Amino acid sequence: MRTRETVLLKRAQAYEEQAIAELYDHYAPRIYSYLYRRVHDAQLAEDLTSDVFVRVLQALQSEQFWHTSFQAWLYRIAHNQVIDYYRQQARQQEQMPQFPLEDQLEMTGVENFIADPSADVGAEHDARDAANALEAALNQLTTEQQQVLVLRFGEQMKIQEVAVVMNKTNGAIEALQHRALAALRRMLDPGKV
Amino acid sequence: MKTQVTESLLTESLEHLKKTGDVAKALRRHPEKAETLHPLVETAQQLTGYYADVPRPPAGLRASRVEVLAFAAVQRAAQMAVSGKRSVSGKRSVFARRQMNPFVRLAAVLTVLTLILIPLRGPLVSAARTTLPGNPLYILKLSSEDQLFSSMNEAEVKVVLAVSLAQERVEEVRALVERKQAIPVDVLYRTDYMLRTALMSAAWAPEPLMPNMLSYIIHHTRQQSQQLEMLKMQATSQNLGALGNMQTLLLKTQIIAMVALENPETFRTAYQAGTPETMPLPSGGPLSGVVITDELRELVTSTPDSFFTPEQAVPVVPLLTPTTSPTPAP
Repeated sequence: MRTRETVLLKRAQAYEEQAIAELYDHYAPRIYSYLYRRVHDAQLAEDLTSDVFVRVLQALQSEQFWHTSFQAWLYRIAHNQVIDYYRQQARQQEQMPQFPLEDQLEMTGVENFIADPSADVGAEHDARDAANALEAALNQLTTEQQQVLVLRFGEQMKIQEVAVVMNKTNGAIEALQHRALAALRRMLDPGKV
Repeated sequence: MKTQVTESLLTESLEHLKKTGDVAKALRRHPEKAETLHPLVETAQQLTGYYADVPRPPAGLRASRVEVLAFAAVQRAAQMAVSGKRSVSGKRSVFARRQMNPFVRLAAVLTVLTLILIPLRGPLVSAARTTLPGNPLYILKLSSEDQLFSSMNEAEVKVVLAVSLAQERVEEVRALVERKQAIPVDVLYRTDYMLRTALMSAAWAPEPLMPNMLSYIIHHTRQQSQQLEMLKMQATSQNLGALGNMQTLLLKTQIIAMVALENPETFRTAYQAGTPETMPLPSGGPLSGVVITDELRELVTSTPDSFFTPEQAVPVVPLLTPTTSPTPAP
């Protein structure tokens, strides 16, 4: 790990404002981007960004240190924040009336975005519709599949970096990436995969 | 095995895609697998474009930054309070410096610990925080808050603490509404005091930090107002007026903070001179979405005494010495 970062983290452990500010300024924009790509809500992503850094400060106190990369550790905490958020959402939803899966899909409108092979998609939908289609399809993927796609194509990380964040082998990440892209493609364009 | 090969080739093709941005070029090295890989690489390209579209954070991450730094500052202060160590500036913390009533000290430490154990905007659930107006311990709670406040030196930390204590009043109001108990006017006075203290402290914050402080105030008072709006559904008619008054106090604070963001120098001059009423309020511009009526303009510059009309007033519970327009120390 870089020495300067180690020094900053030691100072942050003592709640030294300047060190925390420096770490925040360096990492917060990319953590915010990652969180936005996971939750699709700018305000929520900003709120979660501060939660991530508060968690980091708490973890520093309890000696829950990272082992290989501080950045990877940050992404892991950010991922956990996203999971916690969706769990909370799910708990709230449990109190609402339950509908069959088909009805739920209809309510989310995902089938409106899944392409009809007989239609000329490019001509019918503008860029916004395409983005909506992609978002709806992404939401149908597993949490791990979503995470690997965001890290690879949003954060532009290499397979090895993603492996460190997700605590898996390179091979497992390659497999996960393959399955995620194939599943996504099937949903977006069922005739071609 | 065959799948593993495909997965590796996909990764290789994706690396080429990253370099060239061209699907055809990315697939050129493995033409025998092009048919299989093409839809996947194409989807990856689509995803890259999709993920590139990240809007700027609403407050430029300023509110979030302040929250993190304030959390750290409260933690730092708490460590000093609990251990009685000397602060960085060489001064002893308030808990070590003064001969304090042991009960007040206990309450102060409890409040500090509560602030540590909960996220700043999270639900306030500890025993120290469940004390409501009407409880004999309530005066102790307020006293401990004042002690904690006076132990803070940095203006920006005072802003966050004042907003947190205003949130504490919102939580008290929530508990009172749920129990169908009347909201004492002192809670509103205390809220007003905290909100004005937050603004006053923001005016004394170092220049580069002042916009952060103001954004923080706007963000949190807006959330607090939304929480009160939700409470209206279960409030008795007696409490509706108090809830409305409290929301107006929050709106007043938001407006002043928004105006201050646009005119920082005017804000700083007026508030540092202790004459907030001299700050002019424009009728549009930064206040998009907020209609500044004459009535609202009057509210913004009014004192709490003139603010509570007889129709809106709620019974005063003589628990505390009335906190009529205290002037917060800079």
